[in-house]
Amino acid sequence: MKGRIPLKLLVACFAGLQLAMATLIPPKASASLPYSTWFMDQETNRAIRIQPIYVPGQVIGYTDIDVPLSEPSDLYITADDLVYVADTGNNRIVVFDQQGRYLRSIGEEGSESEGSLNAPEGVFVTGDGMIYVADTGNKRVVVYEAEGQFVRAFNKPQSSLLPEGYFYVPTKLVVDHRGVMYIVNKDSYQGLLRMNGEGQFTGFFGVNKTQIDWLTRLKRSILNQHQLDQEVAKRPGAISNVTYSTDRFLLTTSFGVDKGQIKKLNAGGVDAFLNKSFYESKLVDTAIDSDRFLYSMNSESGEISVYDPYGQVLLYFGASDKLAHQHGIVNYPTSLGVNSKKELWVVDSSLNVLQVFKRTAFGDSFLTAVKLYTEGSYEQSKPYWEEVVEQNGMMNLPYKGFGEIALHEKRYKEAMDHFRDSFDAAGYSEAFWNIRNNWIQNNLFFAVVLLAIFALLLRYFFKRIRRFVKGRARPAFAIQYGREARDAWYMLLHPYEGFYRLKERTISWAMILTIVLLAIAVRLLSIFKMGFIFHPYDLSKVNLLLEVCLLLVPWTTWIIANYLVSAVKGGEGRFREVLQASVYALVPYIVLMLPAIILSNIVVLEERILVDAITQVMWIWIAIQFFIMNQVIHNFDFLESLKIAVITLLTIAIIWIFTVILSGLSFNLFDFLKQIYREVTFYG
Amino acid sequence: MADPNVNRYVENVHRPQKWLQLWPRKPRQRLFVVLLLLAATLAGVIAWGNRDTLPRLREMGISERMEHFIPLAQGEAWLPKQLNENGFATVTENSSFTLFFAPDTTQIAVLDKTSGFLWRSNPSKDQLAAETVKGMILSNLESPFVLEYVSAGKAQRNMTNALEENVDKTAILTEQGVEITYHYPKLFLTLAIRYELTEHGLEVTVPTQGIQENGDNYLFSLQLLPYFGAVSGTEEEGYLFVPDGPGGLVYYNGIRPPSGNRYDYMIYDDDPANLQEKKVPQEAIAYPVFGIKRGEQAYAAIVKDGKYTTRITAMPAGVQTSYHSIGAKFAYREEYWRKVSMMAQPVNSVQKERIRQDRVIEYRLLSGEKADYSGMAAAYRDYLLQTHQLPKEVTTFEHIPLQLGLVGGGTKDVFGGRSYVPTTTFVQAEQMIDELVSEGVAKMTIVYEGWQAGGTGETDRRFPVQQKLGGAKGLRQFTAGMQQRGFPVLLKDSLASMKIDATQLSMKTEGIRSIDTTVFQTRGGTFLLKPETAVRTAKDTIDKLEKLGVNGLLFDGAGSAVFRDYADGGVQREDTAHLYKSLLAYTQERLGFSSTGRGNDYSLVASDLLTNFPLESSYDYFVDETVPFYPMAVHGYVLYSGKEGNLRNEYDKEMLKAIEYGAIPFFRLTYTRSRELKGTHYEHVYSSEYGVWKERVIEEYKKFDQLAPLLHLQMVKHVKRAEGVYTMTYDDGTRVTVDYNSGTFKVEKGGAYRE
Repeated sequence: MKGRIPLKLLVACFAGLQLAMATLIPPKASASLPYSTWFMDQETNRAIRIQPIYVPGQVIGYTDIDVPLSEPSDLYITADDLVYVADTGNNRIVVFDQQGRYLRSIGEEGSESEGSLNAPEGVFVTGDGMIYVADTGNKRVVVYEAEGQFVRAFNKPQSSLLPEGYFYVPTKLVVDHRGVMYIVNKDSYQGLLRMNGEGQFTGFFGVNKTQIDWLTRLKRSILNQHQLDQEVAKRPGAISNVTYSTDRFLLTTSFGVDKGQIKKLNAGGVDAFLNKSFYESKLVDTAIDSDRFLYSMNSESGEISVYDPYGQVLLYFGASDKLAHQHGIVNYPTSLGVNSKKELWVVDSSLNVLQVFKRTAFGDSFLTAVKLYTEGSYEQSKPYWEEVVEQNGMMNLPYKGFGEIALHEKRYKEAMDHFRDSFDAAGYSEAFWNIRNNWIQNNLFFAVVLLAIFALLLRYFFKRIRRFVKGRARPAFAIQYGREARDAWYMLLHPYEGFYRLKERTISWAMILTIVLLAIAVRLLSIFKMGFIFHPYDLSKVNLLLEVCLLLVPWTTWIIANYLVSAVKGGEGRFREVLQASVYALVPYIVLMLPAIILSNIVVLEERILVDAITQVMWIWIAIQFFIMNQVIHNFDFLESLKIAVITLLTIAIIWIFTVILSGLSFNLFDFLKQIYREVTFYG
Repeated sequence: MADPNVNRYVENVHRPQKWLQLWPRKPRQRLFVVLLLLAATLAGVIAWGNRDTLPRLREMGISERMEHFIPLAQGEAWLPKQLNENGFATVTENSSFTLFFAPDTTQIAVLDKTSGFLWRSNPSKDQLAAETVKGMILSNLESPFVLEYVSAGKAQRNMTNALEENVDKTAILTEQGVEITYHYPKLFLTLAIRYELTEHGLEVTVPTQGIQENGDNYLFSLQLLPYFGAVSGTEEEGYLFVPDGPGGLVYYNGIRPPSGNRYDYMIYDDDPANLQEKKVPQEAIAYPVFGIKRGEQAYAAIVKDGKYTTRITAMPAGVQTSYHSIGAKFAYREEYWRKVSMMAQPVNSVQKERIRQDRVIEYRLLSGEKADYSGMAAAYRDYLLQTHQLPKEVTTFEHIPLQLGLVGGGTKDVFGGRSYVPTTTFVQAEQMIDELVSEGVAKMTIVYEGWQAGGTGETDRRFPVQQKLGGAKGLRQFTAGMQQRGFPVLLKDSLASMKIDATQLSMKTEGIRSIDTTVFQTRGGTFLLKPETAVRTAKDTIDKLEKLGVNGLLFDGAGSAVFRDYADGGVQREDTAHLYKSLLAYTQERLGFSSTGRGNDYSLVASDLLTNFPLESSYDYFVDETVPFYPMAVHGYVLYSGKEGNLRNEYDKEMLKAIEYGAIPFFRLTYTRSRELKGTHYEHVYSSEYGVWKERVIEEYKKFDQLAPLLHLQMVKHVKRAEGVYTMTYDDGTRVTVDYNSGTFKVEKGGAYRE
């Protein structure tokens, strides 16, 4: 019987957890465009579909060209919007104009000529029109003049610094303003190969860090060198693509890494995005426009993500399909480019086409607004934000924008509302600081006087009430209740003496219930009444049951585990004693959480340490209370108590593991029975 | 009188025995009996509470769909004696056409007597001499059909056709044509196909009674006449017509990316109950028509029977053969992924039961002026009129009606619970409408949604009408006010899709079953209500709304959701459509007005207004040009609107398209800002604030109002004048020319400009 209650609660918690981790599948698109455009509502963790910011434009490369594109794998768009495509399957580079009209091809001179290409996978054009090609099949880099005349080829550089057996298979490359080449090598984990204008190796660049999981760490700690040598070596993720931005950064795109999928590297190899995670696993290419907005292509979902200049994701759009047969749907995208009109060009090596996406009017207003906002030109961004809000009421970013504008114009109250609307804690805190500051300046004197009068009045009435209460006869239960309450208070600062008082005594259910309910109430209060800057998310999405469980389930398991362990290990405490002591140990939570909640509503972000400190002290205090309770109730000495506490914690872990296994097994059993039933009905 | 003492004595003796029988002595037994009684009463109460209280279909005047199968032809085997130089024998003829039959290949041909053009079921031997393909693909080119079958217990499909070596072919003459029976002795399969002349062309029938499966091989699909009138390469000018969105043309000389080379879609979309997950959305086929234009000749093929389980397939020249092929492919069994366990990979399976439906296609042969998509639309319109599938012509309009959609509000999460957030109350709605009227919007049809107590459109908790909008009383006042202005008020309600968390109905008993017999459920947390339950429940909705002065209902799903229920005693796709259509008719009869979304062809006859009518293509590479075939077939008989103006992808382009295609203006608005809808089931309505859209609504209304005099007219001809310039001609001669390049349009009144 005893085990049943927490079991139920646990099940409820799991259900809650599952809800909290609700899938991120975007809702079905309306029929008019074959893909959806959506953004992640970060506060509620839901994908919300909006109108398109890009619509499909032309499809290029299968008509009006001498030979249709074959497995194209890279493209480069120059400042004057000429498009260079690595037409891998046709062993050439193809040049299109801005409208997608075929202009010429390069590298087709015939197999003997030194300028002829073999399955080129990468192309780059410098500011002065020199064309650099990663001639993958020939394992070299070839340079052509703007007109397509062969200039020279760079074979594998000779250098003692290059590891032995290094395979030089260039697939992508960029050339910086000094003429230094950064070359992506096929499946190479060493990073970009850097080569100066003379073709000399000058080191690797932008290498990814190896990601070590706990299993590898465990192996490393227990296996000897011989055994370790037999393990498959952990390699850092390979760089799949590289892009050179107009502000002279190198953008690398990496495949199969958890962090740093996109890196924005300066010449020194420092990542401006600080190796942050982009929550993408299959990125193949990144493009950057003249406003420094980023676009990345996910080869698996076929979605293009749009980021602001700081790498914050704004929107997603696009889709992939194995049988892609609609405009705007990709199959095997390999590269992405953006031109001066902010059109996105996608290379698809399975469909053998280039697809162009054109920005809609809404996309233009939105991205312009974001651009001005990130630049800090709040005043200028205002009309754009207003337009965006008119056309889409679901996004949060515009309200951040409005908040900043209002803050700028010293309309703090309004700013606070906007920031609350967009769940922006920092902005809210700043607006609130201003309001608080004004209030203190205007009202400090009156406030102090009022507070003093209030304190005096309180003192006066408190004394009178106390005298009044003391002077009256009360029923027995009220006396007991009062004493129990006083003991709870006393225990806060005198835990040893306090818990000793609880021994051999039966605390009334009324008291136990009061404290537990108070704890739950404070827990709920801490969710709904905590200051906004501590909970900058949509409170309506909070799973109340889960939140209460997070407090009660560990606590209940402690009671059971502690009783079981102490019973075996010769502790004195009865179950009732363990229960009531554990209840009393919750008192610091009630007592300290309340001021923390009140305080959280008057501090700003910079002062949140105050509230954090209170809560931390509270948790330490609670831990101490439980420890002392364990010692006193069971009459252990310090070391014994320590031992029992550790065993209790282990028991808790075991109980949880068992619950998980049991529920898993019963799920299996249930599924098995259902499966048999289905088989019988299917064949019956 | 007998001595009472004696009586008492007797009673005293007998009583304990009676007691023993009915009321045990021991307290424990007594308790048991009491509990038993209580349980019985409870069971009784529950059974009574769960009894079928819904009105019978018959009470609503709705009859079940009658199913009768076409009988097979009877008579002697026909052995034609006289063959012409091409190997054809004359079967029969009528005033316009002659039907030929070639006994060796079972090919057929139809001679159009007026134009002298011969429509052949397959390319001739001479034409095929140049063909490079070999084997099965070559023999398919010579066969009037391609048959797919599966062997017992396997999902792998095998193919055969009429030219198989050992197939017994028997021809029997019928009144208007010939019926050929094919018997495959090795496969134990038998099949009959009948060709008959009609006054418009050729009708081909595959009677279900002609199919016999006597062995371990089962019919999977039948592709009928894939090369009827087929053109090779670019030898002739013309196109294939496919039912993509409003209509799509596939030119013979079109150049497409290699991936866009196949058209193969189910009429009315794949059945959700067949669990074929589709990742990329596609416009569902709304009408069972395909066609060919070659030079001065054309045909429009209409799938008349069995259309609910028929696919339209097309393939341009160069993919398999050098011929452009198009035709119907009848599904007889469904392939599906059978889930055997929640953790194991699903198994590919083929349905055991065969779909038993007669299949009839009519090829309406067109020539000269009529030989284009306008002519095909006219032929289809004629067919709909002849078979009473179109309603009466709409009345003449002085002003165009604006379809004003209003979103009342929705339920969303608030602090650990859920609460309804109103976005347009009845009072606010009236205020908005008054303002629009004063600004010149002379006619409106109001469609209110989100009015249900359940806080979403997909719920069975409809009543009382949402209190936060004003409740029943508020609605009553609102409809009365609109009555005075002459604006019909429609309420939107869902027939098919239901939110699991918003319904009181049991999903297990009232939801449909998928092909693997599990309860059908989508990832979005919805299920599909059994159509019969939906229709019977709707009576109560209609009863209650009639009292509140509502003029009609927009039933979401009635014109778009076609699905099968695989439960025991479940329904076919045909039944679903039939029940929905009948409900629309019933609604018209009771309230005066009925409406639905999309508007598949079966819903036309019982609808006054179709919203989200297919005006957009699927963006398919396969389709070279999108044309207003479906609008042309139905314009003048039913009003329709496209996508709501406030949620367009490209505002001006889509407005012009609505004008070109003869739609009425449509906006879907809220009184409050649209952000209030965030978190509700109306979250996709991302821009709806009346204050923001008011000016646009008025401006657009004035533009559309120029089309008001055309609403009751047929559209007769649609032509592309230049790149981005299109002209639609109405049957009084009025021409509407839309120029996408300049973003303008002009209406030239009839008569004077007639060509």
